[in-house]
Amino acid sequence: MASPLLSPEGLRGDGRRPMELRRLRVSFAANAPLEDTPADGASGACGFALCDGHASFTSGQTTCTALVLGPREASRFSAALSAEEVVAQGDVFGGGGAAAAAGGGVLFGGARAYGTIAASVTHVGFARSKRPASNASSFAGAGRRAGLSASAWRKTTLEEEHAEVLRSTLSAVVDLKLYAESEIAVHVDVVSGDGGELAASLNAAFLALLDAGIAVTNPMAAVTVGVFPSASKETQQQQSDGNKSGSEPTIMLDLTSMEYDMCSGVRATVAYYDRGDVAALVLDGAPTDQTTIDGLVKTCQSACRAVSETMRTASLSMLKERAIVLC
Amino acid sequence: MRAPAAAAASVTYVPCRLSGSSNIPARSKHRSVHIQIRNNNSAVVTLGRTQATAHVRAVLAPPSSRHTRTGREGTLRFRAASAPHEEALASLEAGAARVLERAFVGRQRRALDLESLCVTAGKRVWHIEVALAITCADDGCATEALGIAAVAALRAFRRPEVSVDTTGANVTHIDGADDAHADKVVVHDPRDREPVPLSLLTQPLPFQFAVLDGVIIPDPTPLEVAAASAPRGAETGSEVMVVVNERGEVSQLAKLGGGAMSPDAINKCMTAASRRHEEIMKVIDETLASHEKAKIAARIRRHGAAVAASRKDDRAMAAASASANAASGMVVDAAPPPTQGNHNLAGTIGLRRMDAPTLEGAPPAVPDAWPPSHGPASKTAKSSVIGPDDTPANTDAQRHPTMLAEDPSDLEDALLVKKAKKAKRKS
Repeated sequence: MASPLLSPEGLRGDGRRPMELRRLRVSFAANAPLEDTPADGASGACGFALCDGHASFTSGQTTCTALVLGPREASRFSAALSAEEVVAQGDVFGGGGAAAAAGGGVLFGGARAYGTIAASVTHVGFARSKRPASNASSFAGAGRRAGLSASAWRKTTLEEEHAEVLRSTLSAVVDLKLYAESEIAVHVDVVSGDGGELAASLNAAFLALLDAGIAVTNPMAAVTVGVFPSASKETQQQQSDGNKSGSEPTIMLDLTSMEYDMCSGVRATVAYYDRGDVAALVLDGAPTDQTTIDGLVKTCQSACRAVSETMRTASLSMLKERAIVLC
Repeated sequence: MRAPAAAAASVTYVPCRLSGSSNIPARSKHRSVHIQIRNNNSAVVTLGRTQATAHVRAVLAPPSSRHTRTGREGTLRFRAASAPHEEALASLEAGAARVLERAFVGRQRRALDLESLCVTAGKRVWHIEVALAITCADDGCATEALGIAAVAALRAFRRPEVSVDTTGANVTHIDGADDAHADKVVVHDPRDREPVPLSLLTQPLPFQFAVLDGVIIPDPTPLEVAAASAPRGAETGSEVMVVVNERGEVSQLAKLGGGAMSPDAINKCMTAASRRHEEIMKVIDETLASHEKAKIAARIRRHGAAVAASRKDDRAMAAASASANAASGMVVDAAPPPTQGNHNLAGTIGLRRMDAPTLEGAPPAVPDAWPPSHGPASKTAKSSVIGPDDTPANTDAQRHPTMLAEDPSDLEDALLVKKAKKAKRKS
């Protein structure tokens, strides 16, 4: 038996093989009954009318919905210059063409030659979402001081982390040069969580960007992956004189939250661009040697391509439907 | 990360520098790291202009819960220590604290042997806290610098020796409720018994890299990160953070957004990180060795001074030794009479905080900034100042404001000197 999570036949708890993804479902705002909402959107029953793009991504029991607002005017006070803009302004000083893109002269420290992405994530209260276990709950942290309970504080940090991953990943996906002086806000709700929330959030956010008609240069897709060390050490010693193949760690794709909790190796969320380069990588777990991690990262490439293919077909059919409606 | 105001003007040369086309070649060498150990419990790391401090404290208190497992384990915690108004720095520290906490005591990994922090199971364990502060982040790599500082500080830190007096089992208490709490925990003064180092099992360190066109730039400055993560069509790079231990095993890896990066580049980063780990370990080892030497030298000096003082003034020394005796071998009764306002650490019932240690004759209460609710318990955990850097000028000018909690033994020494002077005047 390679892993305690695999049956003798090599199947997982839900009947999948280790390298099998869960069933993916993608839906866009076009599927939601939007026509009923009044034009001013005052009813509040369906907020989708107010947003520019909406998509939901479901993988097994995990569902994430993403809203995109914008491109809209960036608030003057939103943030200091981002790293991109430091270099962008350098281009301007070097006589680059960014000044033209900004539509007029570029003020020092004022105008933005590149658009920005604002991202936020909410794990909806009823979603059975994964909260990282903290073993040091006895001390009051910064968030605790702010009056949050321990679990709420942990949830908030997790949400913040996911939002940061989302923001930085999507910034590289969108052609921000086209959205000078503007902001694209992305909000993701994890409606139900059963492992792979970050990957699902990334996919949902990407689809919502497509739905909003925002120019995307690098299509991407994300999956969750985990490495399960073969067996406990005692069994390894027993098997050491027997077959060596039993000591190979098992790589599993698209972990459920139970598998995520039981994983004693490393777990990662990997996002790949369609051209085959890594877009984002968040890896966490027990110390693992580099060859295993390298194998894990490379394994995700084909999985991401499969997810991307599903998303592409769904978005193409969505576009076709819209084209028909417009005709 | 706050971009320096002058950055924009100099930006154009960065890409040239990285591509090696200008006379400044692409950098593939690490900047040198300077580590300074202060007061046996904090480390200051300087990496270019970036300066980071890690400050270790230990508190003897009830365990966070009375679970059979957690009751037998102490805790290790990292926290951001910057002033809250320093928003940019505070968020860097919070991020670093998150990374380090996962690296040291995350699931499935233990860099610190938490069971060795247990004094009496379910009653008294050591809670270790590492406060992280960045004083300057102008040269980037805040997480890396804080990680190095944390490992150096944890290795330099010594907790006081503790022994459990089981003979006190027959002592009857006023309430007589818990005989199980009759064990007495004796915290020995550092001058009395040699303090104990923490048992670090592995030493994970975070390292940051910028990757641009396949070139891996170690400990990147904000400008280099900006150049790497700027959207420039197909030629994009990214920033990567790798946590690696001395066996070259990776426990965390983060590449958030930025540009495209081939899986091979990630592999290269991991190799570079493990090589970098070896180099940094050498620096830490050297620093700690020289610190140890200086400590021993200072102890000899102090001992010599004490002998001279005793020759000079016998009466002063007698007074001093009386209070020193009381201070050393402080007996902390695990079951003092219940005090009003029971701020037990985790609200555990039946475990009383050590609010009333039997400290008759000890120097008057020492102002102790942290944590107020734990009372004198934290005081007992402080290590004494024997390091070479304990001159007031040094500590005041360079320490981070939040690091300014006085070391009690410092004050104790001051008190002793005062007493000696008084006695002198009287005579």
